[in-house]
Amino acid sequence: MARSGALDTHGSPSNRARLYPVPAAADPSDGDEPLRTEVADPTAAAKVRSNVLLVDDRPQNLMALEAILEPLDQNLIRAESGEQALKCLLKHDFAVILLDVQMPGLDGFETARFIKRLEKTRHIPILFLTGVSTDEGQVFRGYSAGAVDYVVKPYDADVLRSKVSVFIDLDEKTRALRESEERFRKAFDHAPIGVALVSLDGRWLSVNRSLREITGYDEEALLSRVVGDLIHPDDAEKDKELARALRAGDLRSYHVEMRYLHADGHVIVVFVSVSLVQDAQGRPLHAIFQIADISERKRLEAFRSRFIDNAAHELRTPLTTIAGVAAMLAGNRDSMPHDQIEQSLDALGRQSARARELINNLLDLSQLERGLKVSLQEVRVASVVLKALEAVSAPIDKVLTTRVPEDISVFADPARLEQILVNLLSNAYRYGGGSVTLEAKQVGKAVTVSVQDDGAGIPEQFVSRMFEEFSRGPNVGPNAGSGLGLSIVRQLAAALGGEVWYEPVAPSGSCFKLRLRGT
Amino acid sequence: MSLILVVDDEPDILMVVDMILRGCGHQILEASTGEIALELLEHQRPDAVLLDIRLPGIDGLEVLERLRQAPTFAIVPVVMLSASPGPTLVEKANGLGCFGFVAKPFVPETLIRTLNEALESGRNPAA
Repeated sequence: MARSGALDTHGSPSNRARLYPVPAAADPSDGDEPLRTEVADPTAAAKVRSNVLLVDDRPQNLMALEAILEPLDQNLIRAESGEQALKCLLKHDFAVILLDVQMPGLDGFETARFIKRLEKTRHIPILFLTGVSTDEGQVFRGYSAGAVDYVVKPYDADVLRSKVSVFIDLDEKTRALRESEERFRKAFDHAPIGVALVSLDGRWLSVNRSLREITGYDEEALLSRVVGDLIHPDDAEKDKELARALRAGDLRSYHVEMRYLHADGHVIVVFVSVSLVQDAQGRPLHAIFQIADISERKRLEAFRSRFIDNAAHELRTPLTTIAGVAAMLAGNRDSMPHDQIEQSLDALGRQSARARELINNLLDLSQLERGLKVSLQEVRVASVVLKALEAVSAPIDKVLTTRVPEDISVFADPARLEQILVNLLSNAYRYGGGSVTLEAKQVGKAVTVSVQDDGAGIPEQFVSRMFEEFSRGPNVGPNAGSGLGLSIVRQLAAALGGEVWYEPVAPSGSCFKLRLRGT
Repeated sequence: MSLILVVDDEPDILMVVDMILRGCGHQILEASTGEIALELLEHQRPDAVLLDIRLPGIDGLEVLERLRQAPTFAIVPVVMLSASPGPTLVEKANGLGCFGFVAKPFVPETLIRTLNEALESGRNPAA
């Protein structure tokens, strides 16, 4: 509801209604066209004026009317003929029409009949203006033409003003009601969750946009259905019982999680809140439904549960060895051969380290999920590589070759980049053959860092899953990792705005590449 | 005393179970996958099987099923080892005829006790 720009006053000095030109077709030949003041904020206290149409073929009569009605401070609009009046009526809304009976061309009665025939204007109250010489027959004609009142010349100013005020009041109230309804309708229609009015027998009466989006049905489709049509068969009983309780008055409202069937057939999980709307006597009228699509949340919850289950499972494995070895040593250390004791202690060390790594990785992942704070800055790759090499030293039987030019820099968070390299190096040492190579290359605007080993490589069937949580290839041996390393690497790379991927190496081996923005 | 087949993909767990069972005087056969286990079973008949559920390749339940299909092994007692046996898993395994479950992590006493009960039931199958 933008207010149009300039203030434009024209017309006779006695016409002091405020005039605002309106963007759409204000025909200058129609004379004065003061229009309703559009108020930008419907809740503001500024006065909104009603339009009053004054129809008389004699300008001096119009002036007289204006003078009388001026104190009411409304928009007074002139028309000097029936035809002009009809033109005005088509353009604007009016609170009341003061209509002269005696006019050349279309007289007052005929004009009134036209007005009553038009859908847009038939509700507007008409006050007939007439001279003293009015007979009863004419008066009757006037009422049957649709007038609500007669005003006789010479006009009693107070009487006329008071009659017109009544209609102004009515107009204000009608407008306020319409605005209030409009506001409610907008709130209903634009609500961020699905809202609907449902009849007591389950028919969708009114459905907002969000609900249509959630369910995939358009308005027509929903209004021709009942609530039960959307419910997943397994939840039908639950819904029937609740609906029955609501109708019977055992419940005023309820909330329930259930499954709906989307229009295209898939299942969605929704949270439904229903409350009853009652009339003044407390009898149920209909129900209001609020429906939120929680499918995504449920999916995440399921994922998280499975993740926790997997994590617990993973921890049990090293614990089995630790508990077993501890019990063995406690009970039998005096009778155990020396080499067996050695073996057991080695296993103890290995599995403890594994449990520790698993827990660290779990915490990392949990942090990642919560939203990682990365501070991107210009970072020299060589210095991060040095730090990574300090953090994870190459085992005695492995040879590490690094080819990292001093001058290559990337946009990254140094700590996160180090974490990625540490993870990739650990994997390479663990699963690789005897030699591991770390290389950094500038490729156009990007920088690629690769960690390559000459181990067995990743078997085909695991390649698609390798970056998922807890996915581990076969034959990983006693030094298996947590199964989370690559998942963490992938998330870290994404957080840095880069990507990581795997390439097999001929004749055998794995190469993991990380691409980041260069500087 | 008895020949026990132990199937688990974790080498350290195989090592620990091996130590525990040899400590009781049993002879051990080790398999790190279901496939290897089934292959071993073509040539030997153990007195009991300790079978991990989570295996790369075919899992423990499948091994159990195939075992039960072969008449020679129909009544060999099988004890399932599992880190987290859910109700569906237990139901399936019981349906396929496993003797019992030992949950990981376990203490040696529990493993030995359950194994002995299994061996006992193998020697004197219920009427």
